[in-house]
Amino acid sequence: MDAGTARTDAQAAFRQELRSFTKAHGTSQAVRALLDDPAGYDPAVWELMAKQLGLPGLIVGEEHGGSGAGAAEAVIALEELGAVMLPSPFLPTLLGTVAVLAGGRAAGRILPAVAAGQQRLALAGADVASTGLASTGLASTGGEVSATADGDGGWRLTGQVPCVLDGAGASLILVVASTGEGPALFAVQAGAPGLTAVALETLDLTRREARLSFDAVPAELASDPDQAAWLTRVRALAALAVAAGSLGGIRRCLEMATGYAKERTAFGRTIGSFQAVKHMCADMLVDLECTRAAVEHAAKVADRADESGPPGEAAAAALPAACSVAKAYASDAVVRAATTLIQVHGGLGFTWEHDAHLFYRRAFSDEQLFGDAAAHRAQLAAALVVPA
Amino acid sequence: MTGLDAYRQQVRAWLAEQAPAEGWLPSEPAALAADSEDGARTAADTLARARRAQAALFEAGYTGISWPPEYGGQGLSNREQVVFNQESEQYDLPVFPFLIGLGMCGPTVLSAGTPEQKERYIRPMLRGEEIWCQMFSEPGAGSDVAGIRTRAARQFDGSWLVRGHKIWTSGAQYCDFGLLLARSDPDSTRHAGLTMFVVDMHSPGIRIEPLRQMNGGSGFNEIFFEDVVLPPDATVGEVGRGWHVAIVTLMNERVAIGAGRSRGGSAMSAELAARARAAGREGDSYLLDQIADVYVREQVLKYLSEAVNEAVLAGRTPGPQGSIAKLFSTDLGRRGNAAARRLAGSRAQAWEPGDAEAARQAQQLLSAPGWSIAGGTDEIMRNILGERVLGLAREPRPS
Repeated sequence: MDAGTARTDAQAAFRQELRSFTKAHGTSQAVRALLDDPAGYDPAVWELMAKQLGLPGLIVGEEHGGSGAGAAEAVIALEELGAVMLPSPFLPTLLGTVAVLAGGRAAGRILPAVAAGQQRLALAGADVASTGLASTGLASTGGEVSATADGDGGWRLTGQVPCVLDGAGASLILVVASTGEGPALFAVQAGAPGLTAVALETLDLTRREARLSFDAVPAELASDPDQAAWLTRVRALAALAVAAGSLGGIRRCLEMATGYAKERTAFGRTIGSFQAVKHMCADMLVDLECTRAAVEHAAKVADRADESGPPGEAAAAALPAACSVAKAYASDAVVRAATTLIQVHGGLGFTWEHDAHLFYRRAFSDEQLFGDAAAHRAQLAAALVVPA
Repeated sequence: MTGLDAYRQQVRAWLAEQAPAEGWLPSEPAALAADSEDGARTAADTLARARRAQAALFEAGYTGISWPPEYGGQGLSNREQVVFNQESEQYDLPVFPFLIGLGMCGPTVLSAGTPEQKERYIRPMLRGEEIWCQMFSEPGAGSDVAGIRTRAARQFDGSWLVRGHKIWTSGAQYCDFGLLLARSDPDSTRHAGLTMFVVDMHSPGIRIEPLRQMNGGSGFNEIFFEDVVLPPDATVGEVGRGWHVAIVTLMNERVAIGAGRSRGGSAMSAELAARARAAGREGDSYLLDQIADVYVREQVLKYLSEAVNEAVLAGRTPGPQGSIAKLFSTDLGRRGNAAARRLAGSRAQAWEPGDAEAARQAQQLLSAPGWSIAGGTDEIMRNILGERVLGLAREPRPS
């Protein structure tokens, strides 16, 4: 098995712990048992992920009871969970945490409960349209929620967000909404009056998504007005998080395809000895290493962006492009990998019983979440071609 | 400050002082630069400039950084070599004629040669006094090097008589020495019975004829061996073990070519973007997508080489990124050409006399097929990744 990258001994140990965990709890059988489950995950396993791996509070600071880890560790966790598609609230909770941290204002109130495993988060309205015009930057599909001050220091949200990961299951929803002074982040309790969550049919059977409607829903402001770049940072890191999961998926697709190509025989030879099949696997390997390089680079930039001083500022400025590079490459690569996985398996890969279609479904879900490849390339092109 | 940081400071200071004085600054956008195998680059003045640069690098101790000091190297580790590569990346060191010697032939002589050969050849190679080429391919032995038919017959006095025909040799017309792979056992087949030799390219009986490439250049040559006599001590490694010696050379070549093309950072997309802006094409979303795709892949290629560097600097064994880089970079080159064509439109196929930019672009287009062939075809590279990295079975060989 691909050893994966670890820059420190602690990261190597963390990856090893995750692998032991997913080996025990992320079996095909366990994943399949949850496909029809309304919640879509096993609460007992999520509790273990909290106790043994500290995943709910992974990037929450130690002052709030979290592990205080950075993007590098988050990317490792996402890669390892993505490799087995173990369903859990980890990704939506991580996305919500990223938003709360970037917003700044409500970290102390929200994050201790998250780190303690008592709060499942969802992030709504930070998604980007899959067809952003280069000249206008990324359009937001979440711009339809607007916030108005209720006069008592609170806010009311009205509008709709179409595809929210864990939107019906989360206990606290972080919503990007427009105010008179630009976009701001709001926290909404599940079950708040005026909030409707409609569960959606999902291509990826291991993910739960909901359409959220807001009708004058009471909300708490969770971003500081002086945190101008917070939304850019949230979008960049959300795209990176999905790309990191794709990295794990590509790795697993390559392992499955090469494993099969080594044992399946046709015309008296293993099919991996045919160049037509061998070269498909080689191209997957290229995609795996390129995705890994892009994702890990972006994570490095993200961690550097947390440092103070000029190097941190330079990294913060470079972060959106680095994350767009990772998401643009990973989105295309994960789709290629899952498609190739099925092709290498032939008819077997087209059956319900084989796991290939689960990876195929996940790949096309990853492709679209937080901007597809073309949207991120449009964003990059805007910076490259259009004068500032 | 660690020793490596101090070394980096020292390299950086030296380059910052030397480069402007010697004219090693990139003269034009590195993107879409003339193909490195362009015959024009080998003109006499280019060669003289290259020799001066190589000699300066030797005097300062920045060549053969990880090679043994007894033969003129610096006796440092790959980590210092990586530091030098990183620091010199932004400069245009005109040392192209020495890349095959330093990248392939030197490592081969150091790994398989005798102490006498190392003593004789390594130092002049490092000083830029003697230029090297490699002669493996033949008209009947391309990707399958084991099809070699050039014959080396041992004479009674221990010398060797060579007769045969080599092809695709870069720079043979100005080289002083070359590594030759020839069949020393006439009854052998395939990989057995091959031997590696050092050849003095000025020996009687060697005839060099330039090949004219489809892009008009003549960087490659055919070499005819018409009863060339090689001394008994010309063998590199054991007689009959030439294939094993050659593998060292080829692995070094593939890394060198992949790494070589990765230089230039995001230069190609930056140039394309500037031209798109100048042409008022900001609204051409298809073109913008192509340019951004080139940018994404340039970045990925840079990260791949950084990942290799970082692994070496941290004392870890690098992954397969180096082998992947060659395959990835030829594809990137083609994508860059495609964006440039869209930008140029009909001007890509007919241009005003004297339009240097259009001519350069056409040159790139006509050079691209060579990138996917030289130093291991894309198909051979995929075989290597599939078989050596992924462990898939080899093609069955006829028994």
